[in-house]
Amino acid sequence: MRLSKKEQCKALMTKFFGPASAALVDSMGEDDCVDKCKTKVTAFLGAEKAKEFDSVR
Amino acid sequence: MEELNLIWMQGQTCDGDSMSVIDAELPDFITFLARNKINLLYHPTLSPQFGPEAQKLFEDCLSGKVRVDIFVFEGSVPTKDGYGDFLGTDVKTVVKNFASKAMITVAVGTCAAFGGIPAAPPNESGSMGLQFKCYKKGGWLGEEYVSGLGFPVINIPGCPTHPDWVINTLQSFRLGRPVILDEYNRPKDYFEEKVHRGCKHCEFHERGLWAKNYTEIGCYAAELGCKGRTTNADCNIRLWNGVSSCTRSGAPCIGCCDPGFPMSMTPFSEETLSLPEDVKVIVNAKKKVLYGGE
Repeated sequence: MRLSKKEQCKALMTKFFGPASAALVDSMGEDDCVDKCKTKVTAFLGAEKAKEFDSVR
Repeated sequence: MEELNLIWMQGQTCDGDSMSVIDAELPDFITFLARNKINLLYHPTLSPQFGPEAQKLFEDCLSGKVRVDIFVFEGSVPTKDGYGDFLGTDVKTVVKNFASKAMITVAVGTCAAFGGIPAAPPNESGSMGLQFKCYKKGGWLGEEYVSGLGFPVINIPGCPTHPDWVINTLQSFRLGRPVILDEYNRPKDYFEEKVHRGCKHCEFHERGLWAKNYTEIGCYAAELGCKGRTTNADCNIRLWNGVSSCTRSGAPCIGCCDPGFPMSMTPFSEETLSLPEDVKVIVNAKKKVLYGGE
Protein backbone atom coordinates (compact mmCIF):
# COMPACT_ATOMS: atom_id res chain seq x y z
CA MET A 1 0.00 0.00 0.00
CA ARG A 2 1.28 3.42 -0.92
CA LEU A 3 1.86 5.83 1.96
CA SER A 4 0.26 9.26 1.93
CA LYS A 5 2.46 12.33 1.48
CA LYS A 6 1.95 13.15 5.13
CA GLU A 7 3.11 9.70 6.20
CA GLN A 8 6.19 9.98 4.00
CA CYS A 9 6.95 13.45 5.36
CA LYS A 10 6.55 12.14 8.90
CA ALA A 11 9.05 9.40 8.23
CA LEU A 12 11.60 11.88 6.87
CA MET A 13 11.07 14.38 9.69
CA THR A 14 11.53 11.56 12.22
CA LYS A 15 14.73 10.58 10.48
CA PHE A 16 16.11 14.13 10.50
CA PHE A 17 14.86 15.60 13.76
CA GLY A 18 12.96 13.00 15.77
CA PRO A 19 9.35 12.20 16.66
CA ALA A 20 8.59 15.71 17.93
CA SER A 21 8.98 17.13 14.42
CA ALA A 22 7.03 14.26 12.91
CA ALA A 23 4.06 15.15 15.10
CA LEU A 24 4.11 18.61 13.54
CA VAL A 25 3.21 17.11 10.16
CA ASP A 26 -0.19 16.14 11.59
CA SER A 27 -1.15 19.80 11.59
CA MET A 28 -0.21 20.20 7.90
CA GLY A 29 -2.30 19.47 4.87
CA GLU A 30 -1.68 16.65 2.37
CA ASP A 31 -0.95 19.24 -0.34
CA ASP A 32 1.39 21.59 1.49
CA CYS A 33 3.24 19.23 3.84
CA VAL A 34 6.10 18.51 1.43
CA ASP A 35 6.91 22.18 0.82
CA LYS A 36 6.60 23.10 4.48
CA CYS A 37 8.83 20.24 5.63
CA LYS A 38 11.33 20.86 2.87
CA THR A 39 11.66 24.52 3.90
CA LYS A 40 12.40 23.53 7.49
CA VAL A 41 14.91 20.87 6.49
CA THR A 42 16.62 23.22 4.03
CA ALA A 43 17.06 25.85 6.73
CA PHE A 44 18.58 23.49 9.27
CA LEU A 45 20.31 20.82 7.22
CA GLY A 46 20.82 22.33 3.79
CA ALA A 47 19.42 21.80 0.31
CA GLU A 48 21.20 18.50 -0.23
CA LYS A 49 19.33 16.69 2.54
CA ALA A 50 16.09 18.44 1.64
CA LYS A 51 16.27 16.76 -1.77
CA GLU A 52 14.95 13.61 -0.09
CA PHE A 53 11.55 15.28 -0.15
CA ASP A 54 11.65 15.34 -3.95
CA SER A 55 10.79 11.64 -3.95
CA VAL A 56 7.62 12.21 -1.91
CA ARG A 57 4.65 11.68 -4.24
CA MET B 1 23.58 25.16 4.44
CA GLU B 2 21.77 28.37 5.38
CA GLU B 3 23.01 30.43 8.29
CA LEU B 4 20.89 30.05 11.41
CA ASN B 5 20.23 32.88 13.83
CA LEU B 6 20.56 32.18 17.54
CA ILE B 7 19.41 34.59 20.19
CA TRP B 8 20.31 34.00 23.85
CA MET B 9 18.36 35.78 26.56
CA GLN B 10 18.28 35.66 30.31
CA GLY B 11 15.73 35.84 33.10
CA GLN B 12 16.54 35.35 36.77
CA THR B 13 19.98 33.88 36.50
CA CYS B 14 23.42 33.85 38.02
CA ASP B 15 24.96 33.67 34.53
CA GLY B 16 26.47 30.29 35.41
CA ASP B 17 25.14 28.47 32.37
CA SER B 18 26.54 31.13 30.05
CA MET B 19 29.90 30.82 31.78
CA SER B 20 29.78 27.06 31.46
CA VAL B 21 28.93 27.12 27.75
CA ILE B 22 31.55 29.79 27.05
CA ASP B 23 34.07 27.43 28.70
CA ALA B 24 33.28 24.65 26.24
CA GLU B 25 36.27 22.84 24.79
CA LEU B 26 36.74 20.85 21.61
CA PRO B 27 35.27 22.87 20.10
CA ASP B 28 34.95 26.09 22.04
CA PHE B 29 31.63 27.89 21.76
CA ILE B 30 32.68 30.46 19.15
CA THR B 31 34.33 27.85 16.93
CA PHE B 32 31.23 25.69 17.24
CA LEU B 33 29.03 28.56 16.07
CA ALA B 34 31.34 29.39 13.16
CA ARG B 35 31.69 25.80 11.98
CA ASN B 36 27.96 25.27 12.03
CA LYS B 37 27.08 28.57 10.44
CA ILE B 38 25.17 29.73 13.49
CA ASN B 39 24.99 33.49 13.79
CA LEU B 40 24.87 34.64 17.41
CA LEU B 41 22.47 37.54 17.12
CA TYR B 42 22.62 38.47 20.75
CA HIS B 43 24.05 37.19 24.02
CA PRO B 44 23.96 39.35 27.17
CA THR B 45 27.62 38.64 27.98
CA LEU B 46 29.19 38.28 24.56
CA SER B 47 27.37 40.82 22.42
CA PRO B 48 28.51 44.38 21.92
CA GLN B 49 24.96 45.61 21.24
CA PHE B 50 23.55 47.66 24.07
CA GLY B 51 20.58 49.95 24.67
CA PRO B 52 18.90 51.29 21.51
CA GLU B 53 21.00 49.08 19.24
CA ALA B 54 19.87 45.94 21.05
CA GLN B 55 16.32 47.28 21.20
CA LYS B 56 16.32 47.69 17.41
CA LEU B 57 17.57 44.14 16.95
CA PHE B 58 14.79 42.73 19.16
CA GLU B 59 12.18 44.75 17.28
CA ASP B 60 13.51 43.44 13.97
CA CYS B 61 13.30 39.89 15.29
CA LEU B 62 9.73 40.30 16.46
CA SER B 63 8.59 42.01 13.28
CA GLY B 64 9.98 39.14 11.22
CA LYS B 65 12.66 41.28 9.57
CA VAL B 66 15.31 39.12 11.23
CA ARG B 67 14.59 35.39 11.54
CA VAL B 68 14.88 33.71 14.94
CA ASP B 69 15.85 30.08 14.41
CA ILE B 70 17.15 29.16 17.84
CA PHE B 71 15.92 30.86 20.99
CA VAL B 72 18.00 30.02 24.04
CA PHE B 73 16.80 31.14 27.42
CA GLU B 74 18.79 31.02 30.65
CA GLY B 75 17.31 31.63 34.10
CA SER B 76 13.80 31.33 35.42
CA VAL B 77 10.84 33.41 34.27
CA PRO B 78 9.51 35.81 36.92
CA THR B 79 5.78 35.87 36.29
CA LYS B 80 4.78 38.53 38.83
CA ASP B 81 4.79 42.13 37.63
CA GLY B 82 7.76 44.24 38.53
CA TYR B 83 10.32 41.49 38.65
CA GLY B 84 12.81 41.99 35.88
CA ASP B 85 12.63 43.51 32.45
CA PHE B 86 14.63 43.41 29.28
CA LEU B 87 15.18 46.89 27.86
CA GLY B 88 11.83 48.04 29.12
CA THR B 89 9.80 44.92 28.37
CA ASP B 90 8.83 42.35 31.02
CA VAL B 91 10.96 39.21 30.88
CA LYS B 92 7.79 37.10 30.73
CA THR B 93 6.60 39.01 27.65
CA VAL B 94 10.01 38.75 26.00
CA VAL B 95 9.95 34.97 26.49
CA LYS B 96 6.50 34.57 24.94
CA ASN B 97 7.37 36.84 22.00
CA PHE B 98 10.60 35.10 21.07
CA ALA B 99 9.36 31.57 21.75
CA SER B 100 6.48 32.19 19.35
CA LYS B 101 8.95 33.05 16.58
CA ALA B 102 11.58 30.39 17.18
CA MET B 103 12.14 27.20 15.22
CA ILE B 104 13.55 25.64 18.38
CA THR B 105 13.43 26.93 21.95
CA VAL B 106 16.05 25.73 24.39
CA ALA B 107 15.93 26.21 28.17
CA VAL B 108 19.49 26.16 29.38
CA GLY B 109 20.04 25.40 33.06
CA THR B 110 17.70 24.12 35.75
CA CYS B 111 16.21 27.57 36.43
CA ALA B 112 15.06 28.02 32.82
CA ALA B 113 13.93 24.40 32.54
CA PHE B 114 12.12 23.87 35.84
CA GLY B 115 12.28 27.09 37.89
CA GLY B 116 15.29 26.09 39.97
CA ILE B 117 16.54 28.23 42.80
CA PRO B 118 14.42 31.38 42.10
CA ALA B 119 11.29 29.18 42.18
CA ALA B 120 12.09 27.82 45.65
CA PRO B 121 9.87 29.10 48.49
CA PRO B 122 8.90 31.81 49.17
CA ASN B 123 9.19 32.46 45.40
CA GLU B 124 8.16 36.08 45.69
CA SER B 125 8.69 36.66 41.97
CA GLY B 126 6.37 33.82 40.93
CA SER B 127 9.25 32.19 39.09
CA MET B 128 8.92 29.10 36.96
CA GLY B 129 10.58 27.33 34.08
CA LEU B 130 9.69 27.91 30.45
CA GLN B 131 7.49 24.82 30.22
CA PHE B 132 7.74 23.23 33.65
CA LYS B 133 7.31 24.26 37.24
CA CYS B 134 9.38 21.68 39.11
CA TYR B 135 7.96 18.29 38.07
CA LYS B 136 4.71 19.75 36.73
CA LYS B 137 4.35 20.41 33.03
CA GLY B 138 2.98 23.79 32.03
CA GLY B 139 5.36 26.52 33.13
CA TRP B 140 5.22 29.96 31.62
CA LEU B 141 4.67 28.93 27.99
CA GLY B 142 2.05 26.32 28.84
CA GLU B 143 1.78 22.60 28.24
CA GLU B 144 0.73 22.93 24.60
CA TYR B 145 3.61 25.08 23.38
CA VAL B 146 5.64 23.74 20.45
CA SER B 147 8.26 25.59 18.45
CA GLY B 148 8.37 25.96 14.67
CA LEU B 149 10.12 22.64 14.33
CA GLY B 150 7.49 20.87 16.43
CA PHE B 151 9.49 20.56 19.63
CA PRO B 152 8.36 21.51 23.09
CA VAL B 153 10.92 23.58 25.00
CA ILE B 154 14.07 21.47 24.99
CA ASN B 155 15.22 21.36 28.59
CA ILE B 156 18.95 21.14 29.22
CA PRO B 157 19.12 21.45 33.00
CA GLY B 158 22.09 21.52 35.35
CA CYS B 159 23.44 24.01 37.83
CA PRO B 160 25.28 24.83 35.72
CA THR B 161 24.56 22.89 32.58
CA HIS B 162 27.37 20.90 30.97
CA PRO B 163 28.62 22.72 27.84
CA ASP B 164 28.55 19.49 25.83
CA TRP B 165 24.85 19.00 26.53
CA VAL B 166 24.04 22.36 24.95
CA ILE B 167 26.51 22.27 22.08
CA ASN B 168 25.83 18.66 21.14
CA THR B 169 22.07 19.19 21.19
CA LEU B 170 22.37 22.17 18.86
CA GLN B 171 24.82 20.22 16.74
CA SER B 172 22.26 17.42 16.35
CA PHE B 173 19.91 19.88 14.67
CA ARG B 174 22.65 20.78 12.20
CA LEU B 175 23.55 17.18 11.43
CA GLY B 176 20.04 15.80 11.06
CA ARG B 177 20.47 13.54 14.05
CA PRO B 178 17.13 12.97 15.82
CA VAL B 179 16.73 14.54 19.24
CA ILE B 180 14.67 12.28 21.49
CA LEU B 181 13.32 13.79 24.68
CA ASP B 182 12.41 12.16 28.01
CA GLU B 183 9.31 12.84 30.11
CA TYR B 184 10.81 16.15 31.31
CA ASN B 185 11.76 17.15 27.75
CA ARG B 186 15.46 16.58 28.36
CA PRO B 187 17.50 15.04 25.51
CA LYS B 188 17.80 11.34 26.31
CA ASP B 189 21.34 11.27 24.95
CA TYR B 190 22.53 13.08 28.07
CA PHE B 191 19.85 12.47 30.68
CA GLU B 192 18.96 8.81 30.35
CA GLU B 193 21.66 7.53 32.70
CA LYS B 194 21.86 8.15 36.43
CA VAL B 195 24.80 10.14 37.82
CA HIS B 196 25.59 6.96 39.78
CA ARG B 197 26.61 5.26 36.52
CA GLY B 198 30.34 5.55 36.11
CA CYS B 199 30.89 7.00 39.58
CA LYS B 200 34.24 5.87 40.91
CA HIS B 201 32.59 5.19 44.28
CA CYS B 202 30.16 2.62 42.80
CA GLU B 203 32.04 -0.38 44.16
CA PHE B 204 31.70 1.00 47.70
CA HIS B 205 27.99 1.48 47.17
CA GLU B 206 27.52 -2.15 46.20
CA ARG B 207 29.43 -3.28 49.30
CA GLY B 208 27.66 -0.82 51.61
CA LEU B 209 30.82 1.05 52.54
CA TRP B 210 29.72 4.61 53.25
CA ALA B 211 31.95 7.67 53.49
CA LYS B 212 31.21 9.88 56.50
CA ASN B 213 33.10 12.96 55.35
CA TYR B 214 33.70 14.73 52.03
CA THR B 215 36.66 13.39 50.01
CA GLU B 216 36.71 10.21 52.11
CA ILE B 217 36.94 6.85 50.35
CA GLY B 218 33.49 5.20 50.23
CA CYS B 219 30.07 5.89 48.75
CA TYR B 220 28.53 9.29 49.55
CA ALA B 221 24.91 8.09 49.48
CA ALA B 222 23.93 6.95 52.97
CA GLU B 223 25.83 9.37 55.21
CA LEU B 224 26.34 12.39 52.95
CA GLY B 225 23.07 12.30 50.99
CA CYS B 226 24.50 11.83 47.49
CA LYS B 227 21.65 12.11 44.93
CA GLY B 228 23.58 10.34 42.19
CA ARG B 229 21.33 7.27 42.31
CA THR B 230 18.17 9.25 41.67
CA THR B 231 19.39 12.02 39.37
CA ASN B 232 19.52 11.64 35.60
CA ALA B 233 22.66 13.04 33.96
CA ASP B 234 25.76 11.54 32.40
CA CYS B 235 28.19 13.54 34.59
CA ASN B 236 30.28 10.48 35.47
CA ILE B 237 30.41 9.16 31.93
CA ARG B 238 30.99 12.44 30.08
CA LEU B 239 32.93 14.11 32.90
CA TRP B 240 33.44 17.84 33.39
CA ASN B 241 36.38 19.55 31.72
CA GLY B 242 37.09 16.05 30.48
CA VAL B 243 38.48 14.94 33.82
CA SER B 244 36.13 15.07 36.78
CA SER B 245 32.65 15.33 38.29
CA CYS B 246 31.16 16.31 41.63
CA THR B 247 31.43 12.81 43.09
CA ARG B 248 34.89 12.23 41.61
CA SER B 249 36.15 15.39 43.24
CA GLY B 250 35.00 14.22 46.67
CA ALA B 251 31.56 15.79 47.02
CA PRO B 252 28.12 14.17 46.85
CA CYS B 253 25.81 14.84 43.92
CA ILE B 254 23.19 17.43 44.92
CA GLY B 255 20.79 16.47 42.13
CA CYS B 256 21.04 19.75 40.23
CA CYS B 257 19.61 18.28 37.01
CA ASP B 258 16.45 17.01 38.70
CA PRO B 259 13.24 18.97 38.07
CA GLY B 260 12.73 19.21 41.84
CA PHE B 261 16.06 20.91 42.47
CA PRO B 262 16.72 22.46 44.95
CA MET B 263 13.74 21.81 47.23
CA SER B 264 13.40 18.05 46.66
CA MET B 265 17.09 17.69 47.32
CA THR B 266 17.36 19.50 50.62
CA PRO B 267 18.83 18.93 53.10
CA PHE B 268 21.62 18.13 50.68
CA SER B 269 23.43 16.00 53.27
CA GLU B 270 20.52 13.59 53.72
CA GLU B 271 18.85 11.06 51.46
CA THR B 272 15.61 12.69 50.34
CA LEU B 273 14.33 10.47 47.53
CA SER B 274 13.68 6.74 47.50
CA LEU B 275 15.84 4.55 45.30
CA PRO B 276 14.22 3.95 41.89
CA GLU B 277 13.35 0.33 41.04
CA ASP B 278 15.68 0.21 38.02
CA VAL B 279 18.63 1.23 40.17
CA LYS B 280 17.71 -1.40 42.80
CA VAL B 281 17.68 -4.10 40.12
CA ILE B 282 21.09 -3.06 38.75
CA VAL B 283 22.65 -2.78 42.21
CA ASN B 284 21.37 -6.21 43.27
CA ALA B 285 22.55 -7.80 40.03
CA LYS B 286 26.01 -6.27 40.39
CA LYS B 287 26.20 -7.40 44.04
CA LYS B 288 25.38 -10.93 43.03
CA VAL B 289 27.97 -11.02 40.24
CA LEU B 290 30.74 -9.32 42.19
CA TYR B 291 30.25 -10.65 45.69
CA GLY B 292 27.86 -13.57 45.36
CA GLY B 293 25.35 -11.93 47.72
CA GLU B 294 21.75 -10.84 47.24
